[in-house]
Amino acid sequence: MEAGQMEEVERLLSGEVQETLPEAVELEAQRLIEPEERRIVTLSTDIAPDGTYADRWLVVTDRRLATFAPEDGKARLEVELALSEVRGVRLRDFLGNGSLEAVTETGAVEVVRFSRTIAPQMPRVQRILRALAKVSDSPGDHRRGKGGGGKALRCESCGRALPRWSEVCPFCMKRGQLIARLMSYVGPYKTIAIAGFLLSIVLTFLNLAPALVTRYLFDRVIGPGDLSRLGIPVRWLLAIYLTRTVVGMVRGYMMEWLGGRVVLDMRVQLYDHMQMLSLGFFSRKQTGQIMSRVTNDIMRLQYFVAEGLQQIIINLLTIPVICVMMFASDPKLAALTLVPTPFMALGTYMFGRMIHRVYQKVWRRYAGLNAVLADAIPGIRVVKSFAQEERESARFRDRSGSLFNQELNAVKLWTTFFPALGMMTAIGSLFIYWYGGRQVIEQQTTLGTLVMFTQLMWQFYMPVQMLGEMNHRVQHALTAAERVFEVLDTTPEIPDAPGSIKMERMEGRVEFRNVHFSYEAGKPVLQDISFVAEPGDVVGLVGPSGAGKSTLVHLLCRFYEVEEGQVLIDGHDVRELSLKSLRQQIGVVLQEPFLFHGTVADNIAYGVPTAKAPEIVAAAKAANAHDFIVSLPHGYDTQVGERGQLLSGGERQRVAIARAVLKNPRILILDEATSSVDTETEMLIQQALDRLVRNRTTFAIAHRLSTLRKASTILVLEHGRLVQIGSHDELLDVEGLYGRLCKLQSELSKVRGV
Amino acid sequence: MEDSPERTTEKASPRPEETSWEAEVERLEIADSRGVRIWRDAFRRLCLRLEDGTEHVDVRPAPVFPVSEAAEYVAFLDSEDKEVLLLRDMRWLEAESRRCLEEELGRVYFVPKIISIYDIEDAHGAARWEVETDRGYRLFDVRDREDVRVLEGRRVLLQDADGNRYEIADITEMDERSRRLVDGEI
Repeated sequence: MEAGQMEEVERLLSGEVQETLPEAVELEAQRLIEPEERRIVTLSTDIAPDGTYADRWLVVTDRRLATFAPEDGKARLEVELALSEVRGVRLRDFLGNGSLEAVTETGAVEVVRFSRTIAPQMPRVQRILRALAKVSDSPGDHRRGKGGGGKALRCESCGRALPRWSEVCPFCMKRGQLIARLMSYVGPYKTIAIAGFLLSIVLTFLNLAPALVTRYLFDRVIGPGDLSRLGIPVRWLLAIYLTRTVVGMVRGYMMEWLGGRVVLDMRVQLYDHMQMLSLGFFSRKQTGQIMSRVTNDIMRLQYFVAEGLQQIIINLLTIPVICVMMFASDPKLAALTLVPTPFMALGTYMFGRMIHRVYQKVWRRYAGLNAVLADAIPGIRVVKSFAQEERESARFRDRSGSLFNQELNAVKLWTTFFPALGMMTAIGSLFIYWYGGRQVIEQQTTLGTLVMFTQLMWQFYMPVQMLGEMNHRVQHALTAAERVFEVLDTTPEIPDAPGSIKMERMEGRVEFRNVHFSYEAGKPVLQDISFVAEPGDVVGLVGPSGAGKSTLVHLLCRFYEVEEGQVLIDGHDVRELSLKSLRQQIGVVLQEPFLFHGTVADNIAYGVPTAKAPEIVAAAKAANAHDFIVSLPHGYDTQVGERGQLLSGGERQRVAIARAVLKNPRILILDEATSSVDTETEMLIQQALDRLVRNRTTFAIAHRLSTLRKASTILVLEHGRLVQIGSHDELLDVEGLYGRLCKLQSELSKVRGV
Repeated sequence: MEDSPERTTEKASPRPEETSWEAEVERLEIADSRGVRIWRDAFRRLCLRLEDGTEHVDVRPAPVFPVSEAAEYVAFLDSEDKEVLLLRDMRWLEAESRRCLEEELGRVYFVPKIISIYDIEDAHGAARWEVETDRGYRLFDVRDREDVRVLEGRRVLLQDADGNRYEIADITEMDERSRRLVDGEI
């Protein structure tokens, strides 16, 4: 074996393709493999050749490849092939599975089949095999697959796949830690929190005190008929009620303030953090999901932080206090009152679980209903023009109906559970009347005690019920907390390396050196891209959609990091540059320019908020935008509306160009900046762009190849590879993708009469 | 649709031979592929001979309505992903061709059917399923409720965290326990 080949193999090796063989397979492998052979890959897969789920073991040595099928404690050799015979290695990528095939002089064999679970390891195996068999890739190996699916993150402790919305495993979530972390937000407002908590305890006792006064009222005043003492308990009760009201008001305000304040802090922290996160985070998640974290999830926490936890503590306190009060005055009666409690607690707990499940379904039905709306309302023009109003109505009616049915299930639970609970409480009171009444008549206990018991009983059952319910409320809050913390724990965008270089002024020399990149393991988006752009060059990026043009410029902006190779600006690896200084010198004009809510001037000055009026106007003039801006009702102070919707597409485009002009970047990226506008506007935009690209290194992604005539270099990408490079004229002279695309376009423009 | 509009836009299409929409419908409805032969060569490439005798090597079959099964069409794409044949019904193929195609389709479109469910462990929509499929026992994780899709109230399509697909053909035909477990997820 040549040294170069082995080096390549070493580079590709990783633990992922080297698993320990089970005993039976090991035994069988030893019979086949010579002791001096080196084992390079030992990997298990999960689908047998006949398409059933079964383990197969792939063993690759420096001499051969073999697969083994474990069967009843033994192993059977299934495929064996000497690497010297291998002429090619194919990876086939299908829906839900894939296969690895080895091609020889006379035919091909299927080596292994595997599910998508194993698929991410396979490109590496393929590359190792190719290096070992000394074959290069051949056409047909890059056939686009239908595999789909992403690289799921897995929990480090239990191995389960993490849900899409979370980077925390819901199965391994530690409640205590979460609560402690939540409570740390209360830290800065300790005084208020403690005061509020003390007031809550006072309030608890104030709630229990009337029962004691009532006993006094019956036993010492009404019973003996002592009119002179009637004023005492009434005055006491009045005092208690008054204090209770005032304490309640103060406490309520304090707790609401605390909850609101904590939520304010969290929301701001969350949003600040989000601004720092990488594009990868935002493309993984739906906008709605991200927004709901800043609003809904945080809202759920408000209640829990301010009230929930205190409620739990207060309830836990109230129960023993009442018990003491009851047992101290009549142990037997107290014991009887307690009889229904375990049933109540258990019942509430079970109800909580059931209703939670039912509500989950109700919510899903709601989501389904919303989906119909979100679909049909924005698409109402299509609905009407195809005269499908009735069908849309039917769809809505159908979803509404299933929501109603599901809600009925919840209603059934509510309406059976609460009366049943009421009955249990009533049974408790029956015990008290039946046994207590007899005690009073037999003069074993006083009437006052009996009345006190009935009052305490109600106050006792309440916290018991609440505790039963607490479980899933806490769960709810903690889930929300988890999602919020997940965002907070996501490491911000590719952080600056220590000692990163701040480039004050870059020349704009861009170089890609053997760049490889993929968003998902096993699905390369860019492969082995190398080129140089000198300062001031206009580089055109051409290729079918999905070829990797946008990804290439993303790597230049360092929205993502390269997997292999380097991106260099003025000879510095972009990873060595501080992100801020890098992006300050890159200007981007997108296909669908995004304007923010605000005035035209605000939008032009977005990158340079300190820009003065003359600078803004000059930028607008350079962008051919000045004329239309001054004709707007409020000139530069005209509001552009949400996402700039009050302007036309071509107008937005020119505002976006003005924005880039003002920023005065050394490197400019134009992403299909002239598509989707009429010819005249296109001309205006093109003029503006021609002015803009002067003296800057420009990367222009374009579908209309005519716009690239002036490009100094054109990079033609296909399936993530750089297939052609040269000027427009050079590329036209040779056979290739560029020539074909140009021919197609000129035919098209003949049809359009342009 | 009763009155079909004139199809003037057809001209813009780059295809050389133009057929009207109606003619295409008719052609699809009567297309007869009895003479088509399908086999796998020594290099494991799927090969196709059309009725007119033209042969295509290394074609890829693509089921056209794999989920709804609205029609039995199978498209055959060449290595450039261009369609070379739209097969109307594979039952018309002679036995050997049909076996070969079925085997290939089993690879191209691998969606085991769940027969019964041993357990579903759910935590807020993320769930671990332990099931028996027509291809054997399988344990998989579903990341999100969105990956469990219900069709017509009884059919369920699933995608696991790694992108593997599964299907429950009819919930109502499963055993009681399986039904109850699925019910919590849909």
